[in-house]
Amino acid sequence: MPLVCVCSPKGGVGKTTVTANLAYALARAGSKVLAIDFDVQNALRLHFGVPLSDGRGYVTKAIESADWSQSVLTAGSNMFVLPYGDVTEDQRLEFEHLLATDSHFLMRGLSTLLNYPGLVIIADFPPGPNPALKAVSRLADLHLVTMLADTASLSLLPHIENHRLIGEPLNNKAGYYFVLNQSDNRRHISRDVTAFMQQHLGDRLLGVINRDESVAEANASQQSIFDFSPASAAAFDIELISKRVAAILGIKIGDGAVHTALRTSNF
Amino acid sequence: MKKVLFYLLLLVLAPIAVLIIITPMDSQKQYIFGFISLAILFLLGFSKKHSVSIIMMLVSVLMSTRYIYFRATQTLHFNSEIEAILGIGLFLAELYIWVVLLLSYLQTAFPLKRGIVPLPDDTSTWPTVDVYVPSYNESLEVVRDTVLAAQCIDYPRDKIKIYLLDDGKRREFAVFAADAGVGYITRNDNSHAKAGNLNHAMKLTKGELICVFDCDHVATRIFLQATVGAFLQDPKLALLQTPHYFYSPDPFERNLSGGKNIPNEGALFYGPIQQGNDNWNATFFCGSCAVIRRSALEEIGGFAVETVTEDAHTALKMQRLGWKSAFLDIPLAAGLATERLVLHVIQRTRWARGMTQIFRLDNPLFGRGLKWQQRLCYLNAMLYFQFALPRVAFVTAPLAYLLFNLNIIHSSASLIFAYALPHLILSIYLNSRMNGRYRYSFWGEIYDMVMAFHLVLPTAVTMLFPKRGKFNVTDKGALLNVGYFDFSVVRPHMIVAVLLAVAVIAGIVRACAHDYFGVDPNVIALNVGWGLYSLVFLLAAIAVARETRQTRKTIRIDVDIPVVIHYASGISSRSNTLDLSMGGCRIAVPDDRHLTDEIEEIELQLKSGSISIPVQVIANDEQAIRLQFEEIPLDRRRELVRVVLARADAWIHPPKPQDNPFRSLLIIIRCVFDLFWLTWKSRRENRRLRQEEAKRMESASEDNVT
Repeated sequence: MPLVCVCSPKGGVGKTTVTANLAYALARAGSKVLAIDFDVQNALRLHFGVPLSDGRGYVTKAIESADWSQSVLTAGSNMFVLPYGDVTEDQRLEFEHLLATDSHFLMRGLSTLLNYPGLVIIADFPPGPNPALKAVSRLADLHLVTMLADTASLSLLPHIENHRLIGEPLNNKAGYYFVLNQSDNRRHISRDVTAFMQQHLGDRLLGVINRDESVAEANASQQSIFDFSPASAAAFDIELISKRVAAILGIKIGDGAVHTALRTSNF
Repeated sequence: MKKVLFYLLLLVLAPIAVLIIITPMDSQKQYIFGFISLAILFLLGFSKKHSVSIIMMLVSVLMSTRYIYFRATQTLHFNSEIEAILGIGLFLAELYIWVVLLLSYLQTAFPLKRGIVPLPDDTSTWPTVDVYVPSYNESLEVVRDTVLAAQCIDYPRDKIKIYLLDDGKRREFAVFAADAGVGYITRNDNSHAKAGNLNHAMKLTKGELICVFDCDHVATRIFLQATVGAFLQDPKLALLQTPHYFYSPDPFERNLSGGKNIPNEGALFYGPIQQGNDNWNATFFCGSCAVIRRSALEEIGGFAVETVTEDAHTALKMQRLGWKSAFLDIPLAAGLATERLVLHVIQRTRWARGMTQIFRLDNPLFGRGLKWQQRLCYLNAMLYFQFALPRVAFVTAPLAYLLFNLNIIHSSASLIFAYALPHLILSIYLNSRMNGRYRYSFWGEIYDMVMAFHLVLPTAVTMLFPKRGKFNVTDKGALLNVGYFDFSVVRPHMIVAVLLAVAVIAGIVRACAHDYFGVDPNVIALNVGWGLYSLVFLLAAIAVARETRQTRKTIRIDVDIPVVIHYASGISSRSNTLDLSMGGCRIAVPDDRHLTDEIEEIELQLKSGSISIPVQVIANDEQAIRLQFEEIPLDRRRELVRVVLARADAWIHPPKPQDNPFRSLLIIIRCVFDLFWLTWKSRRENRRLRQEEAKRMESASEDNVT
C-alpha cells in the first residue's frame, strides 16, 4: 500500500542503489516490497538479479494494457521488481506524454498494485524534474530526496525547499525527507557538509549513509549489501533508514496480516 | 542554652574523667579494668551509630591519657644518664603520639558530608572562572590532556577561560596553547615557584573564581557545575577543595604484592580528615583540584609565597581573615601518582618542610582570626609531619634493652602491658571503625615507616631554620621500564632491620637461658614482640623499594561505542568498542575482513559527533581486534578526552570493604614474605637468563671455530 518515491535534483547520487537496498532492508524485515523503475536507464532490475539481456518492462505494454502488474517480476522472497524495460525513443516519449496529460493513466496502471494489501512500493526516478515524478508524487506517501555529502548537493537544497522539483510541494501525506549518501568523515568537505545538513535539516534528515566500497562491490556481485557484507557500515545505515521509513509509514510487522500471492512472471 | 548544658555536663564528667585517668592500680587490677572496658566497648561496637563512636572515642581518650599519666608518674626512674636520655626520649615520642591521637580524634569526630550545591537555572548569574594549569618542567604529553579536559568542562563559554601557566617558557607549550585555543602565560623570572606563577597569572586575568589544576590533573566535565554553586550560596566561602584522585598506582599499590585492593595512601586524607576539617571550617587548600574566590585571595595578597607548601598556608591566611573553606568529597579530577618511591619521598619531604615552615612562621595556635577548633585542625596537619623522630625512637627502642641491656622504662613488663594494651587496642579498633573504608589498620605504619628516616633531618633543620630551602617539583608522567630494587631509598631501613633482627635473636637466646643471663623473660618477651612488630613494618617499607615494572600508563575504560572501521580497500564496516583508552581501543570483530584488508582508520561515533582516527592493528583474536591510535589531531583528541577522561563519573568507584585489623595485618605479613619470595624468584630468573645467554655465546663461538 504505501508508496515511497526516491528522487533527487541531481544525478549520480545513488538513488537506484538506495532504492534497491531500501527494498532489501524492508523485505528482510518481513514486508512484501515492490521496486518500480521510472528511469529509462532501466538499471534498477540489475540490483535484483534480472539478467542484463532481459529487456522486459511495463513501459512498452503500458500504452496498450491498462494494468501494469503483469510485468512484475519476482526477485526473491518478498521482493518484486517492475522494470522499465528496453524501450524505443518513441515509446518513451509516448509514455511520458501519457503521464503528463492523462491524469488517470498512472492510477489505472498501478491500481492493482496500490490496492494490494501490505505491499510497500518503492519507486526510483530519473534525476531532476520529470513527468513521472510529477505524476507519481500525487499518489506517494513519502518522498526520500537523496543527496550526496558534497557542496553541489548543498547548493541544491534551496532548489527542493522552494518546490522546484515538481513545481508544487513534493508530498502532502507523510512529507519529504532527506537521505545523505556517501558521507565520509575522513574528508573535510564531506564531514562539514554532513554536519551542516544534520544541523540544518534536523529530523527531516532521515539518515546518513557512510561512503562504503561494500555498496559498489555488492552491486558488482548482484547481491544486496546485507548479503554481501552484513557488518558493513552502509548496511547498518540503510537498515536504520528502513526502520525510520517503516515507522513513518506505520508499517507493522507481526500483526497477523495474511499476504496473498502476487501474480507475477518469472525470469 | 544548649551550650550551657554542654558545659554543665562537662563539669560533672570532668572529675570522673580525672578519677579514671589517675587512679593507680596494680597489674592484675589494671588487667581486669582494661579487659572490662574493652569488653563493654566491643559489645557497644555492634551498634554502628555515630553517637556510639563518639562515646568510644571518649573512652579511648581516657584510656590513652591514663596510659600517658601512668608513664609520666610511674615509669620515669632511671639508673644511669644514658637510660634517662633514651627513656625520656621515648616518653616524649609517646607524648607526641598521644597529642596527635587526641587532635586527630577532634579532627575526624564529626565528618561533614557535603553535597553538590546546584547552580541556578539562569546562567547569567554564574560567576566567571579562570582555570589555571601551572607547569614547570612536565612534558607536553602530560599537560596536553589536562588542558583539553579543562576545555571539556561544561560551563558557559563566555564565563570560563583556561590558561596554561608555563614557568618553563617552552616554545612548544606556546604553540600548543595557541593551537588548542587557551591562554598562555609565562613570566620573566621564576620567583616563588608555583605560588609566584599563580600570582603572576592573577594579575593578568579577571575571573571571579580561580580554579587550579596541577598539570597532570584531568578534570571531569562537571567539575565547575559541582563546585561553583557553593560559592553562590555562601558569599564568605573562599575555597572549595576536591579530592586528588590518582589513576596510576602509587609505589605502595604497585610494589607491594598486597597493595592492589587497599584504599590508597591519600584516601584517608581526602576523606575523613578533610571532611572532619570541613566540619570545623578548617579544610585547607591542597594545591590542585580546587576553586578559590579571587577577592579572598586578593585580600591576603595572592597565594602565600613564604613557604614551600603555598597551598595550606594560603588557606590558613584566608581563614585568619574570616573566610570559609569547604571540602567536597567527590573525585572530580584525576592525576598521576608519583611513579617511584624516591619521588614519593622527595615530594613528602617538601610537604613536611613546608608544614614545618608554617608551624614556625605563622603558627596556627597564635595570631588572630581563628576559632580554637580551626587552630587545632591546622596544628594537627603540621604536627603530623613531625612524626619522623618519634617513629625512629619507637622502632629503635627495643634495641636498647635487647642489645645493650638498658632499662628505658622503669616498670614490670606485665604492668606496662596492662596499661598499654587497652590504649593500643582501642585506638586501633576505633580507627578501624571510624575510617576503615579509607585506611586499613597498620597501613599507616608502612607509609610513615618509609618516610621516617628521611624526614628526621629536613624537619629538624626546618624547625630551626624555617626560612631556608626552596621549592622542588615532583616529576610525573615517566614510565618505569625495568624493575629494580632502590637500595638508596631504604638503606637506613635495612640497617635498622638488620640490627633489629640481631636484637630479636639475641633476645630469644637470652630468654632461653634467662637464669644464666639473669634477665626477666617477660621483659625480653615484651621487647622481642615489640622488635618483631617494628621489623614487620620495616620489611614492608623495604618491600616498597622493590620497584616493579610499570606497564600500562593510560587509563582504559570498558565502554561500548559504535565505530566504523575504514579498510584500505575503501570498505567500511560497523562494529563497537570493547574498551577505549587515549592510546587505542579494542573492537569486536565484525567479520574476517581484517585478516586480509588493512584497517586504516577508525571512526568513533560519539554523542558529540564522530571522530576518525588513523590506527594500527596491534593484535587480534577471534573476538577482538586491538588497535593503537596514531597521531590524533587536537580537536579529535579533545573529543576523545571528553569520553575517556572527562566523564562525570569517571573516577567514582564503590567504597572499599570495611577494614578487618587481623586481615589487614596478615596482608602486610604476606607482603613481607613476598618480598623475599619474589626477590629470590627474580634472581633465579636473572641467573637462568644469564646462563642461557652465556650458552648461546659459547655455541656461537664454537660455530665460528668450526
